[in-house]
Amino acid sequence: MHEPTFFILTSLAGPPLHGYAIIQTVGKLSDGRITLRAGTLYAALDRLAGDDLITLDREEVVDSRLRRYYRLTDSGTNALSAEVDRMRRSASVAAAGLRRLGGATPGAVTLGAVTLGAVTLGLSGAAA
Amino acid sequence: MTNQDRLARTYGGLLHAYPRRYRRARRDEMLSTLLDGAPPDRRWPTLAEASDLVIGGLRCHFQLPRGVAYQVIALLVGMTVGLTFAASASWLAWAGSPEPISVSTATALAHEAMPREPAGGPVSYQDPRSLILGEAAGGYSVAAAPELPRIEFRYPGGDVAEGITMLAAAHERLLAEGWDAQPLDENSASDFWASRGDARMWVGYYATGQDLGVGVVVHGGLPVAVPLAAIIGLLIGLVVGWLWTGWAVRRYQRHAPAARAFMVIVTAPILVIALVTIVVTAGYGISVAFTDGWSWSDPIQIATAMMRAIPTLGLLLGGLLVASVVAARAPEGPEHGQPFTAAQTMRYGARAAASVHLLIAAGFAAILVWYLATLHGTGGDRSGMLTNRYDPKDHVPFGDSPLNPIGALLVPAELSFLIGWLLSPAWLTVSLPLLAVSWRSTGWRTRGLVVVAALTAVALPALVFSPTGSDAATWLAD
Repeated sequence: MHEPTFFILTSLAGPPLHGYAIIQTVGKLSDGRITLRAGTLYAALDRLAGDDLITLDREEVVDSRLRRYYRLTDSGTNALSAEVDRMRRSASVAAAGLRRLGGATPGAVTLGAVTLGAVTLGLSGAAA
Repeated sequence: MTNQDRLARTYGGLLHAYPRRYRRARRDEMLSTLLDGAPPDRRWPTLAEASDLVIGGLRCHFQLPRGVAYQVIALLVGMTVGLTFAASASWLAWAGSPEPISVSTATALAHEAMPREPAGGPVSYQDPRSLILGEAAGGYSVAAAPELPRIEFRYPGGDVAEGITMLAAAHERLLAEGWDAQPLDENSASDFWASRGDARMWVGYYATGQDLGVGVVVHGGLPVAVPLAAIIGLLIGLVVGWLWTGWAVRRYQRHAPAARAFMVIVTAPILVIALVTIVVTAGYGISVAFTDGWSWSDPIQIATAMMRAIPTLGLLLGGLLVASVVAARAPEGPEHGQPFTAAQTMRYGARAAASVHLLIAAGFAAILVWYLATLHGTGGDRSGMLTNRYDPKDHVPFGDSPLNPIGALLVPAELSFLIGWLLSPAWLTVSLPLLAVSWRSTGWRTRGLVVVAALTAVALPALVFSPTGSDAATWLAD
């Protein structure tokens, strides 16, 4: 799973979000490393919807602007959980290697604002 | 106009990069997202935003949907378009290059070896399509580098001894004129190569039945632009074919079952023939090119093999274009699983009925044009055309070759000519009632199409009994 896709799914692991809110959340979760633009975002949303990982939750008009809210589907939640498990295992292997070197002993490995090994931000809410 | 209004208008313009159907679904939502993210004082999109929207739009048009089957199709179409582009580019490069060797130059060089008039005129092999053969040309074998453009001269002699004497004399003359010639010894007494500067010449003794003598073959240089154009054409064609497939498949996915079925029926045999053509062409070119080892001039073989496949490739591309026109113009599938309306069903039925008339008429017209073109080629020898002097099989456009499917396509066209004038009027019993029933529910274009198609059904019997039509039928029947 590519990093932007991972963060889009992560941003939706909570209340449904509209396009601009997804862009903002992804930026925040990735510590500003990932800046989604509209064209890229909607291509990703189309692909994720086509794979049944996200779905349209509702739409509303605010200040004459159409906003569509998206949320994770069950498949999307499972896919994200599987990706988090994979990343956690990879991080654990790397951390064990570092411990064997006798260098720094990392605690939780942090990927942007998503912390692996300690707290999985937002996922618990989505999985519930 | 406020900054926001101006910005919204510019974003709206950029969103035109997306397909119309996509814009209908997404435009307002994307515009909201773009405006939400823009600072209040921004008047124009940033370069990054603009390029992102344009690239996103192009992806929506051309990106190949995921799936191995689609990738295989894209590869086949890419190779077909690539080969066509390569062949066409090679042909153009050849036509645009200076003539590899002029007859006057070749005659002067040959005269140095054999200072007498050759028998008959020189035979020029400068048509790139003839160079692939590596053939035993004109009854005697060219020993090496058969792929190069060349002009051949023949000097008949008496018996073998006289021929060998002529060869030895030519060898001495060339050495005296400053040529670097292979030695004539016991191992190579029947031919030799000679070169001087850029000029290359083969001189050899030939004996074919009663035809004995010495042949002189003067070789020209290779237009290096030809293989270069072939490679560039191939690469461009691959990209174009891949994008074309992406565009067509995206259309295919949203079409109604009838249009999908038509696209599959048209495209599937084309892709099978394309695969065969690609394998045969590439295999032929590579096998000839690698005969006797690889040399710098061998890419020409692949390029010339492609040129021989131009009729096939052209027809394949024509078929793919037909499928694409259907992809572009056919009605989109009903949204949300709604069935076709009665009006739509009537419209498509009337168009299908008209297509039968038009296909028969097209086949008929093709044969008539073929006859008239052949008649013109004979200088208007009508009696010869009617007395089996010009067999239709000998006048198939682009020649009779396994790589030229025009001959096979002429068979249904011939049937259209011979019995279409009966079939098409008979089909009026279907198309005219359908036109009457659908008159109110169809537009002027559909009605006009059916009327024109019905007129062709009336015109065919009149044409087939006209003087030209009956002449063409006689020629064809012979």
